[in-house]
Amino acid sequence: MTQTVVLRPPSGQAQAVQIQADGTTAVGTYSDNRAFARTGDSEGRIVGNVAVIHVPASVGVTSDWTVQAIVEVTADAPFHRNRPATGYVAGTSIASVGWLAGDAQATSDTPIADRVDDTRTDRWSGTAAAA
Amino acid sequence: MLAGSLVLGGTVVGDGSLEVVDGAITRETARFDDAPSELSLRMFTFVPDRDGGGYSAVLRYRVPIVSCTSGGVPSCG
Repeated sequence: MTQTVVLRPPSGQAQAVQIQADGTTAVGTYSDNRAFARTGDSEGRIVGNVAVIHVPASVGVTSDWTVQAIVEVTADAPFHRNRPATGYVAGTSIASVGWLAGDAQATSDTPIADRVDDTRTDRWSGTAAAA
Repeated sequence: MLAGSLVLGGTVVGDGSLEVVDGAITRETARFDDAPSELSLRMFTFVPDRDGGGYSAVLRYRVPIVSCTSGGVPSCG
């Protein structure tokens, strides 16, 4: 099981912080095919039904970036006899960091993307303006 | 168990849990009884770390999830 916080700048390479299958937490780059490439370490903690993942300042996140959490469970063999699935993936909406951190004001036409694999950046041409 | 995804302060949206076959998302939404409970992600918040800089992402699930660490030491995987 991996838990990934995907951080996308207005342009350029997406970054991510991930609690990996071995329980360690890493910083890295994130590609459109959900590929994570580790570049450093971070901190993560799971307590009960809550996971907290630290995004270091060195990642350089600002309020015009977007953020999404993606959870993926994989196995070497299908999970069920009646389904071909060797994994499952679920993700939160892709939302503006400024929204969530409270330093930008959401408007009624501020877009939210809601697909796990939706990496289109054109949906973010009108990210929330600073409050 | 389906995973509704909720962004705090935003709108409840999301596809639920999608099936993956050999690393590729198939577009098939997981059936309620099939998907692992670990995918029951319900809430996501993202807050600035006032002390050390950066941010903290907080993921809340409907059920407890398994941690692969014991005392800070990886114990599975």
